[in-house]
Amino acid sequence: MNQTPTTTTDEQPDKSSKRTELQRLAEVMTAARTQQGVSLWSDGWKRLKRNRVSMISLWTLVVIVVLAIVTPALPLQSPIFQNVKQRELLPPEFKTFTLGIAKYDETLASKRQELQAMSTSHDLAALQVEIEGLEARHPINVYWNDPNFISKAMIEFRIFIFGDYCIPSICGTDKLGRDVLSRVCWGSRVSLACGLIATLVSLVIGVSYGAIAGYFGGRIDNIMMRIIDVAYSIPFIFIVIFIMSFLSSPKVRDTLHDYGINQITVFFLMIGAIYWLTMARVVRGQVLSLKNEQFVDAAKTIGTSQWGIIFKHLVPNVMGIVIVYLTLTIPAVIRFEAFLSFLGMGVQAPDISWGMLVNEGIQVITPIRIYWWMIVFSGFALALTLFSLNFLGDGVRDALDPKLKNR
Amino acid sequence: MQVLVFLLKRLGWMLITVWVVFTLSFFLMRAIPGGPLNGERVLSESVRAQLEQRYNLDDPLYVQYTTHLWNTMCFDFGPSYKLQDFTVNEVLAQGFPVSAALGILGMTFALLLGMTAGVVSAVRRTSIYDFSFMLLATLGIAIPSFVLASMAIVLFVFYFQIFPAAGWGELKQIVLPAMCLGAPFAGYIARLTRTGMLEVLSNDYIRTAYAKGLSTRTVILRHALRGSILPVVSYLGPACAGILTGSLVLEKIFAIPGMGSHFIEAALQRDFTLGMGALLTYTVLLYVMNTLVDLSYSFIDPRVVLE
Repeated sequence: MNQTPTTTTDEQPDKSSKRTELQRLAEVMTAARTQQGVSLWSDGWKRLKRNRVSMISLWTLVVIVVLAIVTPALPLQSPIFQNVKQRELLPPEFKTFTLGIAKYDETLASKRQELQAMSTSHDLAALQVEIEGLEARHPINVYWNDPNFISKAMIEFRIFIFGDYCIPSICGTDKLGRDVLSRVCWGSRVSLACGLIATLVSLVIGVSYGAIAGYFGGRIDNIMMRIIDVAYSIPFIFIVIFIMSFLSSPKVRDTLHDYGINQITVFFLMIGAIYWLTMARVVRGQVLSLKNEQFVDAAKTIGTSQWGIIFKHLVPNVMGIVIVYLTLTIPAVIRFEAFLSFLGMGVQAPDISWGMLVNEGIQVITPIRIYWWMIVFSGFALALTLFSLNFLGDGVRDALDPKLKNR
Repeated sequence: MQVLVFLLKRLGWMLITVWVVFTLSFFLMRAIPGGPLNGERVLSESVRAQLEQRYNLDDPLYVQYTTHLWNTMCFDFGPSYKLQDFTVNEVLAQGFPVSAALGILGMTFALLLGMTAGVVSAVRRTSIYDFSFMLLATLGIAIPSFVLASMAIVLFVFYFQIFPAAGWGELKQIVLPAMCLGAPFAGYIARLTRTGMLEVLSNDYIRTAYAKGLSTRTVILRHALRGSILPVVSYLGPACAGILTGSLVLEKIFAIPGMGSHFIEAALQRDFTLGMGALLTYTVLLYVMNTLVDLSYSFIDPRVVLE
């Protein structure tokens, strides 16, 4: 290509070199099409896989999450059904326990048959009322706290598969005769969901805020960062405690319910809304350095709008560091939820969360008898989850951002 | 001079922060239907009217806001809503020293244990000490203090019967809460110290110190420690915030009459004035701590410029 055809005698070799050059270029093109470069993600994944502790944590977490998801389909006892007289604070035992749904269904069916065979209208009405009462008090409605349709389908599936069989109270029972194992499993759903939802909220707020501040720069950036500086020194935890206690008053709860807002949703959103500050700072820093890159100029030239540039071109490029901070935020949020529920200001009964279970355990501590199973199992579940999340977070950070290693 | 300017600037920002906290919590509290007198008990109209008058709740909102703000600026938080015959100032004055003692003890414990563990694991790198200390540190970071405290109570109070379960006043009663409070921070400090130490130990001046024939102990304690302490110092700011929140739960578990338990009680009882007083005290405390940390940072490392 660089050769200039000066003499006619050179024509022959020049032509051949041109062909080889073209061939070479063609090879490069096909290679570029077929070979895949090592992306940040596959590189990070490779590095993460080499870290044994992180992989163990990852698998532990996968097991915990799967267990939490399929909890309604597991043959567990009822998490909320109270049986104070016979089952109060039982130590771990291996006696089988049955739900008694089959028997209940049998009575119901026999009554229905009776109804069909019935002729006199007087008894008919009475029996109908009885059947309706039986249907309303059906164990499915009593044993589980208003499950949504997915959970309900899973519960029905579990009854279909396992029937009345329940795992015995191998983790003991609590003060109101409820099975601790079942409560820990159901509690994991709320605790993990909180970690996920609240982190997503903080992610959305933090990334948008940081990206906007970083991209527009100048005075807007200055003002937005000043706001963050002030917000950093506000002890939000205390404000949230204060607000939660007000929200949990019965009157306010009813008002919220009228608007169709669940208290637990407010709680999730609020936790999410206070954990975005660090994320915003980090994203802003990254965007500041990225916005002068060529791909941003290229996007500008083809007429992409400012919002398009921010959310389509800049945000995907900061995802690596965002993931690193996410792995730190999730355990922090789960811990905070447990902390608030422990203080009695987070999740309210009949919902269950791990923090609440530990609190229940603390409340029944007496010098006379140690109900260790009330604390140990819920505490262990919480600690194990946080422990694995922390280790995984360290691993992800080392894998995706080697510069931050050992910080 | 530079320090003075820095402190003045920080004071200004602190006032802004306190004002933001005050305004935010004031209006959030008022925005909730029923107001602060909305308790479990239904009050009769006349009682409610009298109470509202006593706490200036019958004024229009902006008047309430300005009077309350003015009183707060004069450090007068008013009477407590729920603790009869106590002003908020009295309650806080009672609770603060208790919480401060607990916090300082917890922090001391965290620093002592954390730095020792960190130095040992850095010096004996990849040894069994290093491994077990770092495992313990991650455990300490991961386990919430209330889980730790509840397990500690089961073990050391009821099973081995070494410590009393609750209360305040004796040294014996302080040990367990202070240790549980300090444990997570000990973990962080151990990790930070180890990282800092490892970085410092690879420096030339450490090799020089060894070459002079100094003993390992002198090299570590005299030369390396000072350089590796910086990350720990910068962590002390967030650690103070964590100690404050941690003491909320621990005071509740161990029935310690500190500011944290008063604050929780205030929140549960919807005691607006007491809660506000505690909240603002916490804000100021945090700000002062952070400022002190920044200041000390520049003393330890002269390269740091105060701004």
